[in-house]
Amino acid sequence: MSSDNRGQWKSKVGFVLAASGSAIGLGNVVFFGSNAYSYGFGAFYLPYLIALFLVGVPVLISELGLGSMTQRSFPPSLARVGGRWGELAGWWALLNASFITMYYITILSWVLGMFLGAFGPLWGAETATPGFAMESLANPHGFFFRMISSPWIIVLVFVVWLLNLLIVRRGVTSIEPVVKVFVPLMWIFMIALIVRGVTLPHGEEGVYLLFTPDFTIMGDPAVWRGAVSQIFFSLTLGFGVMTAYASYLPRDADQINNGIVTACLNCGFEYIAGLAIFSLLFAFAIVPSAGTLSMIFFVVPEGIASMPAGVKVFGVLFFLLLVMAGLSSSISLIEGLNCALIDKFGWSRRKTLLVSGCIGLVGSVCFALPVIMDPDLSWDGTLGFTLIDLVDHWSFGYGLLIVGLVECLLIGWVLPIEKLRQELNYNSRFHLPKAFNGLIKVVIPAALLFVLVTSGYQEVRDGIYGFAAHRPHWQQLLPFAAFGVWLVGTVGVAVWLTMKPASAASHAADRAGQESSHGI
Amino acid sequence: MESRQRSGRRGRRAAHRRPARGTSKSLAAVLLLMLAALAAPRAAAQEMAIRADDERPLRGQAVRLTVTEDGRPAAAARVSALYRPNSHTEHRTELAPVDSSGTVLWTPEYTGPVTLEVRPAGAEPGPDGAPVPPAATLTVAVRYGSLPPSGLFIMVLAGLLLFGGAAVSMLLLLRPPDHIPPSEPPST
Repeated sequence: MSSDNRGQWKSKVGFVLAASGSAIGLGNVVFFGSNAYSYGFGAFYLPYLIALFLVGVPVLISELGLGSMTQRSFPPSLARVGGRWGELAGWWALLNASFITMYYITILSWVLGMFLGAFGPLWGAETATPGFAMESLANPHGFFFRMISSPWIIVLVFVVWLLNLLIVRRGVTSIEPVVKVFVPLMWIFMIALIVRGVTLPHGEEGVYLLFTPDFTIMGDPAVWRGAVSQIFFSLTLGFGVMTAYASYLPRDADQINNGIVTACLNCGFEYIAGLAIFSLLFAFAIVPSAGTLSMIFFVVPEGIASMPAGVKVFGVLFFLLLVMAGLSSSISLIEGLNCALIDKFGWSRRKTLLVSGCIGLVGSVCFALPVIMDPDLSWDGTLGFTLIDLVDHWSFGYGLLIVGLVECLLIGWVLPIEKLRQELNYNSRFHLPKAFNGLIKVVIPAALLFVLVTSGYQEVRDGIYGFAAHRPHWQQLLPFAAFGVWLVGTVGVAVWLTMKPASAASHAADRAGQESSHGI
Repeated sequence: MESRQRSGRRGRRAAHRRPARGTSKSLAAVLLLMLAALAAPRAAAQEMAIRADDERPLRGQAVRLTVTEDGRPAAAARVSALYRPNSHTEHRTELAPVDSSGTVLWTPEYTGPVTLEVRPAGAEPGPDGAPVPPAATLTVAVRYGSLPPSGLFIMVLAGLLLFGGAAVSMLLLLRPPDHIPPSEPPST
């Protein structure tokens, strides 16, 4: 493996912006608002804040520490801790993240479509919906459904993949200048949206709603489960990305500080995104639908459309912000896998991009399939929409948290954690207390186990997600097929990649890394 | 329409049975949005309507709701307030029946979005206990009026922790490395 393939961050700021850009994505703008609404506004925020400091920051610091200590991507890093089983867990995490990347890019292509629509047609009263039972639908719903059921969406998927590959074509060397522009712009755009939101009549009430705790609701375990899940997704934990990014830093990088600044910037962005979204929500008394995507595609556009002036400007601004946020996250997801393939097989970056890009593109196209499932839309929009929903359930609902659990157990008990804590403290101005060990070894695994067991119990009780006997013919098989593809595509391919012999360069890098990282 | 209502109950069950993570529940999103769109013409056909004297009422302060049918005061209708609709924490409160002038007083218990639903008096719930679809709805947003002290505390605390933490960490990160205080080397 040549060092040219791996590269290194040119500046600390570049790394922090890339790591925070990876963490700041659609999850901050959309899913945070949606989860905060779903779990009782202020009743959600306090558990979210607690989960950030008790779960998010420690796991983030561990992932970063692992990356810079080993100078390797996620699978070889975990392999140094847990041998073959560790490597298997690492590949599984990356492949699970790859499924998420595929549909994340599909969603990003929808966002791109909305961005283009924001220049005009999105703000019309309604859009014709040929192929559906209703001849037309009020916007933004009409525009959205027309767009996702059009073959043109495939073109947008190609465009988004092309943008991603262009940005990651030279690894961190080409990623760094892009995030240096994107991340500050995202903050500026979001602040502009907040100013507009809170200055609307009663917009400030949305802010009160977001932060005022409701202790009667906070007793519900579901609220805590939602908060832990949000933190995991929001900080890009369990994706293997942070380890990959940190592996491009020098071994003596201050990862405690990096972790704190990344987590604070990420959740600070969520703080202001919450202000913007909730002020709009309140000012226009909009009720989001139960789904998370409705916030991004319907609620906020509805709010913007109701503004007395500047509809197009704020609409374009909002979707441009989402495109940038989505890209800064998707490039990190792609880089996480690329970094691991280069590390293990010593491939050139060009070959790695070609392989991962082609497979990813095919996956994203599948998730964008514009076949209309039910013309009445009483069940779902398109085949792509259904596939996203089904695969997301497994890769997101279970995959990330299982990775987090395994990672904590490996680092906490096998490494062991005290070794990592000493190494992190040695290179940092902040010193982690001994309680950090307890968090990684016991508290966080217990919290993740609780979330997984309660979710699994619901699964067993209600049957496999998505199965409904009323669905016509072949559609009944979709939930099983989605689960099967996800299982084989993650576990099966992870076993195959683990068994494949590593390149000689990879072995040499492993040996050199082990010698200089105190035996880890 | 019947099949659409059945789908709606399925969708709601699906939405409640899984945690809200990531893009999950997009299915229920589409479903519920479409149900809302489909419910609108139905409401129009019955020509029931509801309006509130104040669509941004204060919590704990009574507000008069007026229900009309074919433009005249509805004599037999029931109104329910659905707090935090479409969330895991939604809460429904049935109000007293409307009086002969089609009005009822409602004192909001919780802040946030509330959907006021009107149903004909005597409408029985469905076989699975689900309420019949409303004949008319109105969404209002209940206000605090001023920022409660607990909300102010959390807002300031979170702001200080997040932005203060980011600022301090960033400054320390950018300081030259020779300022790092000496510490014990890790045991190997």
